[in-house]
Amino acid sequence: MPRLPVNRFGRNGLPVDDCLFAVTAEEKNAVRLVCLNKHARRIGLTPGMTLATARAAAPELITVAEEPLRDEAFLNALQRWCVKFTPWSAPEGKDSLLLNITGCARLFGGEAAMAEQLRQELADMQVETRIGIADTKGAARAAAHFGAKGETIIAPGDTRAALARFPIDALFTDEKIIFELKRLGLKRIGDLYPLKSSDLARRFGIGILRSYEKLLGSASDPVSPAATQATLAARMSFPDPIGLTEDVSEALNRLAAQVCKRLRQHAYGLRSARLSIYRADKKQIHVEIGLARPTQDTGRIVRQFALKLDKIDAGCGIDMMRLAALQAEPFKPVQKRFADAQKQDDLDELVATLGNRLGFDRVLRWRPMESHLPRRTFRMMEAVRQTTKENWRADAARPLMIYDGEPIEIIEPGRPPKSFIWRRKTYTAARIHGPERIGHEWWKGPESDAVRDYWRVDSKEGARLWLSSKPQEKPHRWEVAGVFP
Amino acid sequence: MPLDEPAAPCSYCLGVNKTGTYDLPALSPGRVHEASGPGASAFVFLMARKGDAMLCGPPHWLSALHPQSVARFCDPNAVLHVPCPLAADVLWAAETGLRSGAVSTVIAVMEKSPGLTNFRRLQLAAQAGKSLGLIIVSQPAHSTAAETRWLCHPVYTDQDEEIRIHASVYKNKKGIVGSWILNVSGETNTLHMDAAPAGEPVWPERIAG
Repeated sequence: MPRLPVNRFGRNGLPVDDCLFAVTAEEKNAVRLVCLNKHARRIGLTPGMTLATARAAAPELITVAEEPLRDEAFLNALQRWCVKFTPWSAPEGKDSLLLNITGCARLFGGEAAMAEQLRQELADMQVETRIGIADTKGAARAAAHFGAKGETIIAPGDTRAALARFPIDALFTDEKIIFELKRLGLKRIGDLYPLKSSDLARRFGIGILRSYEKLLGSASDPVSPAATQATLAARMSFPDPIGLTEDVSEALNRLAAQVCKRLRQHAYGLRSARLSIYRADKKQIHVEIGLARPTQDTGRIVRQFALKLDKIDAGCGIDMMRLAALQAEPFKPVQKRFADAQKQDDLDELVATLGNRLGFDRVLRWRPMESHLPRRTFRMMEAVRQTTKENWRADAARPLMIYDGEPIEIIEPGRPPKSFIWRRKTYTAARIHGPERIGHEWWKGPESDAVRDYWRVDSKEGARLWLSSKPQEKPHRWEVAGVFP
Repeated sequence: MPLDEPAAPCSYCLGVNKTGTYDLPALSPGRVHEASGPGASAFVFLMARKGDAMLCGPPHWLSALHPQSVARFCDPNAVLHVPCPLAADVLWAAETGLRSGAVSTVIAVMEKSPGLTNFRRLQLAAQAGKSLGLIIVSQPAHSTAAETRWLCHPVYTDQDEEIRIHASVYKNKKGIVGSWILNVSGETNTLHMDAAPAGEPVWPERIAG
């Protein structure tokens, strides 16, 4: 499909056939043409030309920036459509499809008839095609790109003879090698036939031999079919635009029920989903939700969306709604304990609700870590990822709140100070525990946090503070590192 | 405040139990209560020791907590953290948590007491979810819609392993007010707490002064 981006814009309603039209992209530090329609080609514009040059040659040229992701999605959609011809198909490069039609052609009345049907049906979809049919993947690719007509069929066993007149570019190997080959006067594939493969390998490396062998079928080059993915999505178009919240939520209910049915069929559980709303004025609104645990439950999905439905502006009406699973995981139904089942469900729903508004990185749980540094004996982990219960050991030697060393004002010195001011309050030590020396992480080198001594100071005022200082530092600088309960 | 001081009958106290002492007012579930003072965090974890808890508040406050110390009062596995940089999000998270009823206790950490309207929203949410709401505030307001208001100070004790908190109830909508000394010993599963009356309620400085 040599003009896939242009064809795609044409399908979207741009008048690409009525004017000079090109799709541009930024390449090699310039905006260049990448794909042109036939009028633009006829007046001499070529892909790779800079936009400025093209404009100078044809001021009436209309250009649109390339949308690679949409092109890719379109190509993938076409690949899925090709399943009607063969189960063995894959997208190739940016604009090609590879179909392994072994054994399928006779169902359509032979290769020529099949190619004609394929070309005709794609033309109905406003997609221009060049089709090549051959024994090997490389030869078919060469036939499609460099064949004389729109459809080139190389009969079985004819590959070698048919390829002889094809340009050397049909090797589809490294551009530098192609350039070198052309410089040496090897302009056609046939020019390579008399050469010894050992000479070629010595001059250009083993890579060229591989592509040469793949082209002629002496090395295997199978089509690896694109994995079929279950479509976990549903869409609903309305005869008249809708706008009432009740209508939208009813539509959402039905969509969620369909998606859940598909999830059950494929044994998947939904983790996050997107609701796309297509308004009558061609605007699109996307709403996304996440869930704490994979689910196949319609109610749970709808309830998460319900919180966001109010904010949707229906404008002059909604034409179509689509609910698609963004993330789905294999779903294993687990027998829940009777006592906890409802409670766990409620908790999951709470986590999902909080996560959808604040972000799932703001709904956390503690997780223990192995470390001697008090700061590092735990870590915060997203609640949606944590499934196991951890074993926690209570430690009375650790403060309830840890601070990043808040300096104190010393009234009566000592080790630790007998009386001091912290946060504008005076404390007098009544009893001390310590010191507890906590070293740095030696594997991080001497630059990491230095060795510190810690004291628990029970003050007469009641507060129990965790004072720290560096033993090697003179005079000692005292800091409050935490507060005990 | 020394413990051996005789428990003077408090003029505010309305109920006397059979032994002639005053019981610590229980925190009624389905309502929101407010605690302030330096001992508030320990007191709140003590009260949240049953069932799951949700903790929402400023990120720096939540990240300063040490789970190994929290483990003395309640199970750290049962604590869900919701750090919210915006005060409005703290309110929203607390309300959502209370209304869902999925956790037994919702602890919200705030700089100032929420206004009367917001507080009333929280009360309604707590009522709907039948969970206990606890708010830790650093600057208690003059009047709030809290069910009870507590002022908590740590108290010096000779016992190393014991935690002593002077808890003062200076507002109680449906019960007695007064001060109590809470003695807490043991750990999570063997936690033992007894409360001794300690006279009249103490008001936070901001309100009293």
